[in-house]
Amino acid sequence: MGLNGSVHPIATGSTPAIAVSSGSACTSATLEPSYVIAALGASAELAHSSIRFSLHRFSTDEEIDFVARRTIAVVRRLREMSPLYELAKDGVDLKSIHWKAE
Amino acid sequence: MAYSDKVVDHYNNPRNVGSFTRDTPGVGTGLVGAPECGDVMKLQIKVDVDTGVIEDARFKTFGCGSAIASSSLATEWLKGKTLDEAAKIKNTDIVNELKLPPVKIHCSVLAEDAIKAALADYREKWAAKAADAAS
Repeated sequence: MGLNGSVHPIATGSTPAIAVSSGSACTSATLEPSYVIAALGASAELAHSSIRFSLHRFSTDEEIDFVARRTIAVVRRLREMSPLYELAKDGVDLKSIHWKAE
Repeated sequence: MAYSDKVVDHYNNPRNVGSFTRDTPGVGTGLVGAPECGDVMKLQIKVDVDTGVIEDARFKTFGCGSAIASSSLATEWLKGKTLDEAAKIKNTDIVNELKLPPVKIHCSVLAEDAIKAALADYREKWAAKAADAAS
C-alpha cells in the first residue's frame, strides 16, 4: 500500500534490468485501474497499486530472487515518497479525508 | 510510452522529498488528487513571512513517474520565488520542461493544483498574521 504500480516501468533506471506494469495486460494502455483486480474485490486504490510480473519458461530462480530484491528496494523507496503511506503511518484513516477528486 | 530523460532523472533523483511540520510558521500545505484516481500530491512551501519569499519546498507523491517528476520539478521552481511569482507557474510550463505526453498532462495539472493549494493554505494560516505584525 502507498504507492502507485504504474511507476514501475522506469523503476530500475533509464536502462532497466526489469520491466513490470500495473494491472493486467488488458488495461496496460489506460490509466484506469485494472477491472481484473477490481473483480477480485480490491478497491480502486489497491488496484492502482498492483504490479504485474510476467515470467517465461526460461526464467531462473536467480532471476526471480533478483527481481524480488529489487522490488523490495523500490517499494521501500516509493513508500518513503508517498503521502498516503505517511498518513497511514500517522494513524490517519484515508477514508476520513475529503479527497478533491480530479 | 517512453519517459523523457528529465522525467527519468527526477524520478530516480527526486528533489526535495519530505515534509515540514504543518504548524511550523510560514508553512503552507497543499494536498490534492485522490487515491482512487491513482495520484495524490502533497506539496509544502516554507515562506519567509517578512519578505514573502518561498525559502524552501517539499513534496511527497503517490503516483506514476510523471507525477513524481512534476511535483519534484515544482518544488525546484518554487524555491526563491515570491508568492505572486509562484502563482504564475502553469501546468503547461511543466509539460514543456518534462516533455510529458498527452496521457500524462493530468500530472502537470495536479502539480499546478498542489502549488495553488499550498499558496492558499499559507495565505489562510500566516499571511494575516504577517500583516498584523507589520502594522
